[in-house]
Amino acid sequence: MRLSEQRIQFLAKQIAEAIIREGVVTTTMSGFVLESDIARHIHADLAIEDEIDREVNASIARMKKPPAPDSPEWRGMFQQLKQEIARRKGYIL
Amino acid sequence: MSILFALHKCLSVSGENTRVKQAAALRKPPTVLDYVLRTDPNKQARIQSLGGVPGKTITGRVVDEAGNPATSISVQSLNSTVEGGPRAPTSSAFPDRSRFRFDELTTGRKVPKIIPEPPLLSLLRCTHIAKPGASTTISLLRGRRGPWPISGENSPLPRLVSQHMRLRPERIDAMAARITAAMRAVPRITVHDPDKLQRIIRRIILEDMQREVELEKEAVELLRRHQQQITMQSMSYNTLLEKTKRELARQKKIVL
Repeated sequence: MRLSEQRIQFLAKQIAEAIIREGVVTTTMSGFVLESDIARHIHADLAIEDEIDREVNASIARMKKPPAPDSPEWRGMFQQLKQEIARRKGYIL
Repeated sequence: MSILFALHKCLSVSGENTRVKQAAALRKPPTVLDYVLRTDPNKQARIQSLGGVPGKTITGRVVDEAGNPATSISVQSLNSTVEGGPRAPTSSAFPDRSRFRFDELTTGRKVPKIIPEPPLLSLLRCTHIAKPGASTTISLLRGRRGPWPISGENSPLPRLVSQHMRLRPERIDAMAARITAAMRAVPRITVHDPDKLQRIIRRIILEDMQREVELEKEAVELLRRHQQQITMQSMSYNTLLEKTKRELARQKKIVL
């Protein structure tokens, strides 16, 4: 995950406070529940990248002669496959 | 003052770790090295391993990104564990400077040092010996701009500060749009102004990422002032940078 759980919670709290303060949303949720809900959305969004990473790892592992893990070749291939899969899924990295 | 104290603590801890690693390196001498010299995000030169005798020699060659010999780089070995700091580097024994061989590695703790010709960089180093077949990155610790022989262009040398944010602005835009859409789908939330909601989400995430970049710049500046000590103790620059960033973040109450 690109952001730590604490950072996601921190961002969610900031967003929740700002949108309530500026009257952009109204909700019957408590502040805490709203923060948790926003955090869940951020988490879900970032988790897509983790899923792509897992797909890339699986693709490389299926190769007949995969490059040595963490070698320059491996890193190059990882990035290339990651970009391809992300593009296919319409996900901006 | 407290930052310096915290940094000193970091340095001490890293020093201990380094000593532990050094002891491990002595027990398990290196045989094969494969280092990566990053020049810019798209170009790199590699030091390819050609083998060696465990604990005695390291041999290899430097190639550019296309795998061709990078003759404009010379390789020097540097024993950074000797008391009093680094000793004079040993030049590569091969007349062809794309190849190198170092003998008498009795300490099992040689740090390859790469200096481009002409020596525009004042220091490049790697802080640990790779396991056989493994690779690692050599980071620029100090240097100045100039023509870079590998890339063949006047490109900035490797960046000390990751000028890219952890999340790119384009990605933050997309995230904000998705989070807005997701929030609109929640029955207990009524969104009055979706565009404004998206803008707020974008702004908050973007500002947070920018704060991290600023923090990292500050950490780099702090480490730069302690460069000599870091070099002499053969510490991992990246580890120190991370620790310094975390310490600064703690003091500034920034969540990383």
